[in-house]
Amino acid sequence: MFGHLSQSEHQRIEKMLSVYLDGELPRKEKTRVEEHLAHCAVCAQNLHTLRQTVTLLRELPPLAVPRSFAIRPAQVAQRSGVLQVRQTHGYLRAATVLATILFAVVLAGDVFLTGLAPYLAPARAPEVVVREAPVEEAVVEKEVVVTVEVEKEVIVEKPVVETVVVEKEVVVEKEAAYEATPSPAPAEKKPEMRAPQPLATPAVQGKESASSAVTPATPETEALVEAYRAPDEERVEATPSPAGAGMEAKIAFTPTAVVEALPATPIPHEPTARVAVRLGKPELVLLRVVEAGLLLLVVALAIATLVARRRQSTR
Amino acid sequence: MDEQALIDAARRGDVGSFNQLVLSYQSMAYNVAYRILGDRDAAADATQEAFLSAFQAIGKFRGGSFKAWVLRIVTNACYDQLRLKQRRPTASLDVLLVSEPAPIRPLTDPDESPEEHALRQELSKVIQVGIGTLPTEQRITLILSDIQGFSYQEIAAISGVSLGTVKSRLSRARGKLRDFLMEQGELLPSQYRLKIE
Repeated sequence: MFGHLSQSEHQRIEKMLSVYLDGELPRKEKTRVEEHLAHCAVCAQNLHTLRQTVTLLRELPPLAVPRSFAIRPAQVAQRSGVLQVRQTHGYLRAATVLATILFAVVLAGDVFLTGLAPYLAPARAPEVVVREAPVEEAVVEKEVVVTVEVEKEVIVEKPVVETVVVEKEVVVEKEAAYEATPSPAPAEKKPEMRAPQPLATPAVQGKESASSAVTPATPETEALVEAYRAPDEERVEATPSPAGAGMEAKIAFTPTAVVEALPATPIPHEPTARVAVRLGKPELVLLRVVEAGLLLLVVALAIATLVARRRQSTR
Repeated sequence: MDEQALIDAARRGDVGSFNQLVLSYQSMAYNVAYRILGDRDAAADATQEAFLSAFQAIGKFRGGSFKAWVLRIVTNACYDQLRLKQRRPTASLDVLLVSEPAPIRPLTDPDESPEEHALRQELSKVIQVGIGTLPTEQRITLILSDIQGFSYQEIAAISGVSLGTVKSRLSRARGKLRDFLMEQGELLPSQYRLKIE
């Protein structure tokens, strides 16, 4: 059909016909098109009908304007109002989205913290680390060492420690500990017993050496000890709560318990278990107030957005 | 008063000076809007909106061709109208395109006979339907080039695209409209039918 011309060359010329018609082709390409048109009837025909089409378009008569489009100051003022409403609507919509996201984040945090409560047993320590005592320390039976950060009320009744009152309740999930941190064989465990720190009170140090270090002075301590009187291989560790600071104490639970004051630095390479923190009552109330406030804000912004949208569409 | 003086006065908030510019360009703006939208009322709305926008944005006009600047605003207003039509369709777009357009009131030519006038009206309707079948970008390029007579450079400035894009869009638009008009065949007045040599 196209003789010796290749299909691609034919298509290339076809695409150039419109520009050729307008006389906008560079000289080299114009010559190429003209050479092609000289022996390609199809392209010559296409050029002809294309030219006819353009001629018809150029001969279309212009339409008379139905009215004057001169602007009036009142129109300008009205349009400014429309733009203002449109802008306000945009801001309100953005604010609604932001408030909704914030509310969702707070709500998710609330659910995350309080939703775990049924699985948790209350303990008055922001950080609890339970681990096995080093083999060297175990006399006859294996020991489970609990490290409690800033939980002086439980272990020590020193005035200096009592000033730090922690409202958090920390619960160690024993089952989670089994799953999360399989404990290595006791014989392979690194001896982790640390030397008593300067912050440790004499009372604490005294209890370290005592065979019954966890004194029945506080019922909470007994509860804690009972709670962590775990199987031999049990290993539970809790991470610190946001309010956790200061020092931590180690308690060894076996027939003999060892309490040791420690700095708050994490134990390197120590496998950890999950932590669950339950907020205290005042914090919980505060959280609920914030949630309610955010919810009200979202609703108010949504209503304002809808009103602005309606005003925008009526203008 | 020359155009630049009117523009300067309009920049200072002089509505009267701006309206003199409106009178100069309203016919062109309305015709472009009508060919893009294919609807007189929508074209009038788009034209009015475009001039209002132009007055409020005239402070941003940085020189160059005022006509091209106004036409850019007009085409943007047409895009808004098309979006509005898509959001709130009173009838499907296909129906609008294939249905007979509203009667057109072209500027009367004193030398034209009533018969010629009627034929031209008929041709204008068919062509408008054909233009309506094109994609919006191609439609605008075709209108600016072949109906309004703008150069490639001016169209590129109005549309905010490259010269190559203008050429490509125009080539496709012309080819599609040519095919459409050839398909119409008998619907076109005999003297306006595309004839094969």
